[in-house]
Amino acid sequence: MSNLKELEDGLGFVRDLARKSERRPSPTSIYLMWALISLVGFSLVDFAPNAVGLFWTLAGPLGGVASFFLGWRHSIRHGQLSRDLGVRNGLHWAGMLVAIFLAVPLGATGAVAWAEVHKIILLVIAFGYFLAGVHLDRPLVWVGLLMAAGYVALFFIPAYGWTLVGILMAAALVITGIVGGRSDVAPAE
Amino acid sequence: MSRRPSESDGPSWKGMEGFDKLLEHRVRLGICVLLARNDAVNFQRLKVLLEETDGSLGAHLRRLEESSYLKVRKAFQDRKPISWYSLTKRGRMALETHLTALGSLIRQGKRAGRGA
Repeated sequence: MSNLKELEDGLGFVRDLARKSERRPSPTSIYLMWALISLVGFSLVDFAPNAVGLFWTLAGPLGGVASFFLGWRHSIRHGQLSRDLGVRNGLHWAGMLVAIFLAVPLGATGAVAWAEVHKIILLVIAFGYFLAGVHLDRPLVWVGLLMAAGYVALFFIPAYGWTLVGILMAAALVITGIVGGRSDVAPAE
Repeated sequence: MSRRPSESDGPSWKGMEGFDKLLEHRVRLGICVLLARNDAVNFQRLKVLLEETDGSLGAHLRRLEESSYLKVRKAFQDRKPISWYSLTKRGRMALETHLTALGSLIRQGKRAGRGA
């Protein structure tokens, strides 16, 4: 029976190790980049609504590509390369981006007013961040919740609501990036 | 302060089918599990995760490498040498067989324990 206990301990050790290896510090640079993009992109709704579409059409995909390279560089510095994790991240964020672009025809065809389409997109982003927190990087849960709160607040704030949401989101991303980025980056041998 | 596992810590499973002598040691088993879950892991990251000393970890890695369970790739980062380890096909198969045998034995043991 003691042999059985030893076997179970061995498996427990391996299980804990696998869990430990999943706890990887977040790449701060990605969070800081998206904080800036979000701050500018959301504020544009209040200050230059005509530029919003063009800004996100460029910033969304370019930010995604930049995130991929920053994430890859971070993995190398951290000493742990996982294609599977990269694919999971890529599919998640690309999926969210596709959902956002699919919401655009609602405004383009006049089916829904642009002001409301912007809110729908914010809700999609909030949901995307929340799910990213559940499946990829836990601190993003509260970023998603904060964005959902921002979505609700937009119904009650008469002016500059989007700027406020942008500031809130940027602050949340900066804090998440800095706290999550306190890393144990492996030094060279 | 808990006692560190040693070579003699393994349960007496010699002769049991499917068990891999090389993976009896929990550190070597841990290395293989980490490499199975990632495409490559470098020496320092393995050291942090396994909480091993350079010498001990190096010895375990060497044994696995000599048995062709893992392969090593040397690279430079900021002009400093880095060793990246990844699991070979042989290592992956050995790990799968070993874990299957381990799980099977634990299930058998539990059934026997309940029956007693």
